[in-house]
Amino acid sequence: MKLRALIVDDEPPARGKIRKFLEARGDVQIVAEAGDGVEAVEKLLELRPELVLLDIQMPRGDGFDVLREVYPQHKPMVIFTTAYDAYAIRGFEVEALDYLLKPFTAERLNRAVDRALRNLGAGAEIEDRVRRLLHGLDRSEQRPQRLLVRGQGRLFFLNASEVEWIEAEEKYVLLHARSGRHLIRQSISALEARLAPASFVRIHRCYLLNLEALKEVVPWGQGDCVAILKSGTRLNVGRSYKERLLAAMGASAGAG
Amino acid sequence: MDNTRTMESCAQAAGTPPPPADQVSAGREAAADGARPRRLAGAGEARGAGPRHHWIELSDLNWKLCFLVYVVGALLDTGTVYTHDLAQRAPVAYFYPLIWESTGWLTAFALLPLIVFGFSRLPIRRQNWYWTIPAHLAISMVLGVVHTLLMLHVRQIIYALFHLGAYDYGEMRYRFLMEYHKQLPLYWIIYVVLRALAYYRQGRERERRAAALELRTSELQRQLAQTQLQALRSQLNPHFLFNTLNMVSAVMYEDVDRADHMIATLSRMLRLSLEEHVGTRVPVRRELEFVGCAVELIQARFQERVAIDIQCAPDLVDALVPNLALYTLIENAIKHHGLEREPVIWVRARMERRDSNLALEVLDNGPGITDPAKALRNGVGLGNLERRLQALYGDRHQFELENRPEGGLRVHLAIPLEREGPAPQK
Repeated sequence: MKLRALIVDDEPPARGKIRKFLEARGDVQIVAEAGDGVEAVEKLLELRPELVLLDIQMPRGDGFDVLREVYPQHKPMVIFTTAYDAYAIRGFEVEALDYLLKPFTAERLNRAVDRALRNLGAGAEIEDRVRRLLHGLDRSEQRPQRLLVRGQGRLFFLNASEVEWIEAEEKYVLLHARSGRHLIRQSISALEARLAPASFVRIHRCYLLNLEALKEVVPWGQGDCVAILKSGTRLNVGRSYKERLLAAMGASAGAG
Repeated sequence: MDNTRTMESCAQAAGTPPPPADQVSAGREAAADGARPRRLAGAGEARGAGPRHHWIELSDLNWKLCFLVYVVGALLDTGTVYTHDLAQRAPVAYFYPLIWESTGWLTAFALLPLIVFGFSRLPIRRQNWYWTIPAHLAISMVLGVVHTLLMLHVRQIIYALFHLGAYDYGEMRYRFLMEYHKQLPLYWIIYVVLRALAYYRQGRERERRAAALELRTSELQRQLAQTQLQALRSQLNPHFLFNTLNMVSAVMYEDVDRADHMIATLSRMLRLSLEEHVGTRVPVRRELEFVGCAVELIQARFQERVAIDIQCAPDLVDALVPNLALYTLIENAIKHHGLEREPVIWVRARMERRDSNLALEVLDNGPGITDPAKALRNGVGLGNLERRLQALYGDRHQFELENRPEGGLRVHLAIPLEREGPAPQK
């Protein structure tokens, strides 16, 4: 049986070259190609290929955004490709994950595919490494955090910095962004962990607030307070979250 | 007769090498005499700029060494007189020539500071020699009389102390003259030695400053090299370079002619980047050529997903702009465009003259910027451009970013309109 592979690259000629190299091998079946992040997520979840050749720099969500969305549901073998991304390369080196520097030769691609074939059985360890890589990227401030959302009938990646606040609604969360509201299926606690480095702070059991969108915090009644956003929205601050908010505001004021 | 050879030994004494340099320039940082404008020299000398006021100062001399020279002179002269008298078969006790010569030399030593002081305050220059030299001759005459009298009295006191009888120096009129014959050359020998000393000190000072200058120059050169390297890297943005190379390597399988064309365009860009003597500012013509190459390659990569339109008033092609200013703004627009909501990136750049300014406006349909002030401060591309604008134009430039109400970013840049060509002569 052939290895089923997806090629993700935003440049059609680059995809053509990879296709040509892979087809020459004979043991890989190319199930589809994707030209941007959203398309890659859709095709990965739909076709569930065992191998993905994943470009890092792409429009509509980069390679890491794609993996972050897909990995909880499907864990393909990944060969990263990048022309130049010193930061990502450091991440691959740290986790000993395979990556190809573009432009690459057929031999180099074949070596990477061979290794992926060998590793097919022993996926668990590699899955750990990918998770660590993504976790490391979450914690860095160098990369903008992006969330996959659906708007006007289509999926797209939304920059976390555009989100003003996030509201929990049972199994979903509602993102309140400048451009509109978006519902995504994720728990507010998971988002809180992921967005903490991007200046988001939990202010209520149900609210996660972007400090960049905060105008002021005013006392309200006995010991309670209210956060007033630049957009005018008022949010109650939970009593047990008040200290955390004030500390985060102090820290961001100090850093700014 | 006992004093006939004093002169030669004086000359020898005066010819001794100057004191060690660390003594000479001890604690002195000030500009050497020669470095100041010549017309300041002379009467107004003492009020000259800087802490060093005179071409020679008392502290420039190593007084212990001077004393030693005078003592050696006295001993040599004593020996000369003694042996001369032996040769003349009229020996005197060694004691007598020792008294004569040492009183002669040591009273001369006592007057040495006065001589140095005189030379220091009344320097002989090309412009004033006609009165300073006669003045010094007069001073030397006065000092000669003083020296002779001093010597005489000291000898009389010593004679009295050691009960050697009265000291008689003969007919004083002639003695003054005789002594002056020795004192005059000694006076000028001292001048020559002081000059040599000052010259040596200036040489050291110049050497020290040359070494400091050399150090500074090499430091500046290092910084320049660093800047050039950075400029090179920003032009040959590795991201851009490798993406283009990858593109060429892929297109080659499909369309050799197109791949060939891309290589030629990339080569042109590399050549422009590697050009020497590219200043911090370039004529618009050159910036447009570079940006044109970049746009062509970006277009090849993104194809129908990007539309870049650049307009420039024809009379601006020889205006000067910061190197890579337009390129930075266009690259910035494309880099931050995630194509999230807009399927096509468009960038519109417009360069025109506004009064005495060159205005550059770049619009895009990207996501805009959350915090424009922060982007100008910390952004790699934009921040770097802002720092360069600040360094080049100070307050005479405008650089603004704003999110357009209909979406996308508007960058507005205004700099004084200056054209290529030789700088106007004052």
